[in-house]
Amino acid sequence: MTAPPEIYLETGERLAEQRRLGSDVEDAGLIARSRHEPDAFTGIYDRYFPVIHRYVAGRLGPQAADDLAAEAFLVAFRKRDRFDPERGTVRPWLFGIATNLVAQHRRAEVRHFRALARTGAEPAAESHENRVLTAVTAARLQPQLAHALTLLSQQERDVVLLVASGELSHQEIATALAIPNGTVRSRLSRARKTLRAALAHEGIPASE
Amino acid sequence: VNDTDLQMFQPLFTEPEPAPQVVAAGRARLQHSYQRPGFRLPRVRLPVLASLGVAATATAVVVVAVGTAATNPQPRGGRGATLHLSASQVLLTAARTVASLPAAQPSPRQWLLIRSVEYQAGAKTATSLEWTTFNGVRSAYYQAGKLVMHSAPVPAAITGGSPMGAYDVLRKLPPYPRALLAALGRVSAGQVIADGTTQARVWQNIVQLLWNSPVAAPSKQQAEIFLALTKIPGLRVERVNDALGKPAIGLYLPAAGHSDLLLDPHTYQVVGRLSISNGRYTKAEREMARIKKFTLYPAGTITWSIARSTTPVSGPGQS
Repeated sequence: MTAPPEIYLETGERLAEQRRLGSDVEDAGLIARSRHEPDAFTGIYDRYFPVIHRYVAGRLGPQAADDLAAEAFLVAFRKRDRFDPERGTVRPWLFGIATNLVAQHRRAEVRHFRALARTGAEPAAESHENRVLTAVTAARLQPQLAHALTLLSQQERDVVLLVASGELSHQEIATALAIPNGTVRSRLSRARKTLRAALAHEGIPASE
Repeated sequence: VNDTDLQMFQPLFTEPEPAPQVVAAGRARLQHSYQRPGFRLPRVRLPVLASLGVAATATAVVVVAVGTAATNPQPRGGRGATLHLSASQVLLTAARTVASLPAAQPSPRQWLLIRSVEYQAGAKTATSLEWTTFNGVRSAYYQAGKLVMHSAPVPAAITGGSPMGAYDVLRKLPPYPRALLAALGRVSAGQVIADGTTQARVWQNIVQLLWNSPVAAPSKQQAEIFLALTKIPGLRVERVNDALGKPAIGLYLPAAGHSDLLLDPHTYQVVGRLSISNGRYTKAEREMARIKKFTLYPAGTITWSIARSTTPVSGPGQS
């Protein structure tokens, strides 16, 4: 007999939450251990390097990400004594460190998004339905999205991309960037206005 | 709070997992930081992209100097600035571009003129013209002003090394990225693999097949190939000049050596190849170079580059 979907989903969500809490506790334990056994920190590195690398690569390009993602873990390792599990989990803490490093390369980031914005100059492929075109539909929006991001301030871009790539909550972003929750909301609000205007100009409707 | 509207920016984060070498290098750097007592991390240095750009420009100067000194009056195959795009972003654009091209498969007996310009560090740039039928059975070239014709037995000619053979291998690759890459891993292209990894083998094989197929692959299949290549971790892209000095997009996989496949920046067709020295030589190689008076090139020097164009023609000797 199949369980009702509602019950299945609820159970699934609860299990996911339990797993997440479990890994948060495990992360905090690794950081605590690493204060005396530095090698324990490689557990944090192995778990989060790919996601931090992807985040930095999306903002600065993969070549810069190789260096900067590794740099983020060096910084995190140096600051491990200051990590407080009461204030937040390891994931947003690492995203915050990576974001601060990206901020030191803001001109490179703008160059990266401008280059990306130029890649779609040619018209879209003819409208025959095939899998290839379906697969690149999202990519077709890349130039416009990249252009819109260049119109944001560095601080607005940080919060937008922490939501989009890091999938962090407002509270996690506040912890990551060491800013009040209200500031996160106001930066997102300003960013949304700019993005809506820019995307509407390109003919892309932004959902509410 | 619902932030789903911002998920539209996720396509900008399409990079595949970092290559195992990159993960290992970062871990080694981390371990090194605490295995040296008293070691202090330096402050974050100059922007990485900017410094890479400077390095690339410096390399271009070196390469031009090598080319000029070595009998070639024109700078050939210079490296340009770092491209501020990831390989997957370039490949997605390439897939979109080639998917819209008309599919045109030549007939087996169609003659093709393949014009190549080859640069080798320390030697003159050489231009060659070769005519071949699409099935590779007949070929021709000029020698001492005379057109020399060759014929090969049909079964021997139609292999992965002939235009039609390579075209067929590419055409028959499965259309889904994972299956396509798995199939490429099984193809034998007779290449020496730099570090023996599967990804390196897949990359070497696709480079060889694309190179062996001067008329590329059916357009949709070529788009599938570009899409599949976005799944290879660690693939790099750079802006380079081909052997004719024309700008091109260079794709390379560091695990398979610094050997670029060059794409035209507008049509995304394969237009050349290029090898760059990593400056690392074994003791035996250094000794051999000393005895044979070979030149050992410093890291970043373009040691070999070839630009190629293919045109359908009415017969051998025609252009």
